[in-house]
Amino acid sequence: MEYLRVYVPGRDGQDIDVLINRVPNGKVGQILILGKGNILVSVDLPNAEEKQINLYDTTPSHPCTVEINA
Amino acid sequence: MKRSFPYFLLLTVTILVCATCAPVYNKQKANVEKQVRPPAVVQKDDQTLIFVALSGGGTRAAAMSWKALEEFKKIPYAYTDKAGHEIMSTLADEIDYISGISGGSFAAAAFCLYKDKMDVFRKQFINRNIERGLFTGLFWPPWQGLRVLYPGSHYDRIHVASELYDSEVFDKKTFADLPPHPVLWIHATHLALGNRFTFTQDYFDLLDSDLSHYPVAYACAASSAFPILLSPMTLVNYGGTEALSNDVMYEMAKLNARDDIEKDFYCRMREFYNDKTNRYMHLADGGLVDNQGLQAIIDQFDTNGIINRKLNDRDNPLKRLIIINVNAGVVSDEKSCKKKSAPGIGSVVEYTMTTSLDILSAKRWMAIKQLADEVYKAAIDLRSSTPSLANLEKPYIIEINFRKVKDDKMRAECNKLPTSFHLTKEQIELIDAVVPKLVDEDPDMIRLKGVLKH
Repeated sequence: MEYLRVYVPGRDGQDIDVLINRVPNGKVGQILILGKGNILVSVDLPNAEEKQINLYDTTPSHPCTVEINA
Repeated sequence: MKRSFPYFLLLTVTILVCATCAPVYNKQKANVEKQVRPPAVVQKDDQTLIFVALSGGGTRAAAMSWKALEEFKKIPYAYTDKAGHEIMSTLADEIDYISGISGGSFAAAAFCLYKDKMDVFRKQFINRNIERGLFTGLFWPPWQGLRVLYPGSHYDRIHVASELYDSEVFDKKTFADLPPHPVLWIHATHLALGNRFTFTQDYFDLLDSDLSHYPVAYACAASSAFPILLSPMTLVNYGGTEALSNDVMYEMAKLNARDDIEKDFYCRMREFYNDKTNRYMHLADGGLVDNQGLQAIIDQFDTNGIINRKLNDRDNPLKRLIIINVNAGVVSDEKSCKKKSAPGIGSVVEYTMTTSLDILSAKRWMAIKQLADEVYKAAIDLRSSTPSLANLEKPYIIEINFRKVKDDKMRAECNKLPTSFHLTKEQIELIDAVVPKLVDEDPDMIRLKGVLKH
């Protein structure tokens, strides 16, 4: 299991879907449980950027943190 | 000349019969969804996910699976739905995904079609001598043998079996007749790739084909097409019309394929279907790659799998994950190592196609247990930061297996049950006697029943 947290600067506390490989999977700000390897991360907001992340060696207390600009 | 006329007439009629009675193939899809997506999350109680895997093993597996499902029907399952209504249900009626291989695929499909009239499947399949039906089906009606022998007909032993199951077990039901809940996964083996092929619209999308017209019986026949005894089932691949480079699931799998063999298999499968020269695919017994239908469940723990998305679902958090493995595997007493002479063809086929694969399946079951443990530990670790995981109960990983029969004599009798499509009345009675105990005695089932009482 790998762990990821996604932030959107300036949108703290908003209910925004995270897109993993362009599929909704969890919410912004929450620690997401995912599988190992490369994924595309974005959020369900217009013009949101998409980042490619390689998830490995994360733990619940040390998740990978990704900032998505939208 | 006059004497040869009847023979000429007979030959003409035979060729016409063979040519016009082509076997059933899958149909092309009218509107093809080009975006390949992960399978949909389907639940009745949105706090619970229940997966059931029914293994291969001929009528032994079908009978064991069916008895287990009948027992699950007796277990009350109460919950409150989203609207606040108290729902009184049973464990069987709450199954969300049912995965079947070979003999288990018949029980899985029949459960989806006939779960409100459980006696139908007993009468139409378990209590019948299917083997005799398959044998006589080769010779009756009289032109049947000619159809099988005539190469231009593309009609083979698998179609004799499919037609028998279609008319006498599944009442000509197609996938369009299946209810939306539970989701049925029937698995076969793609012979050329050595991969699993599941009869779902997600897989048929890869072939640009429409599953709804396809007979359920043909999927079960493919899933139980044991090599040599039955010929493979052929499906038409209408795919190859879309560039794979536009597909996110393929692209990301490609990136991960070097470190992840499952992703590599996925890429090879996509490349195969996208190659227009691969117009046909041939399927055999699903047990050749996974005789317990467990890999399809393992996949749901991975990124964007059904279990994975539910774990991250903050709006409808997952409370209860139940995975049940009904495994009809037996340990044969026949050991060729007691003799100096090398095993014969029959024993070699048995060892390579069942014995060694049973060990791989057992490892898959261990993998599911480990993944479920990992999920639960993660949920404990994240409870303070992710309240949606706070209610997740320790997953219930339940195994119904003859290996767990406590009585030595009964267990020995179970291990003697054949892998065939015919069981005697006494053999069925033995299965009906041991399965309720196996269900009652499983430690996770005891824990689940304890929770369901409150």
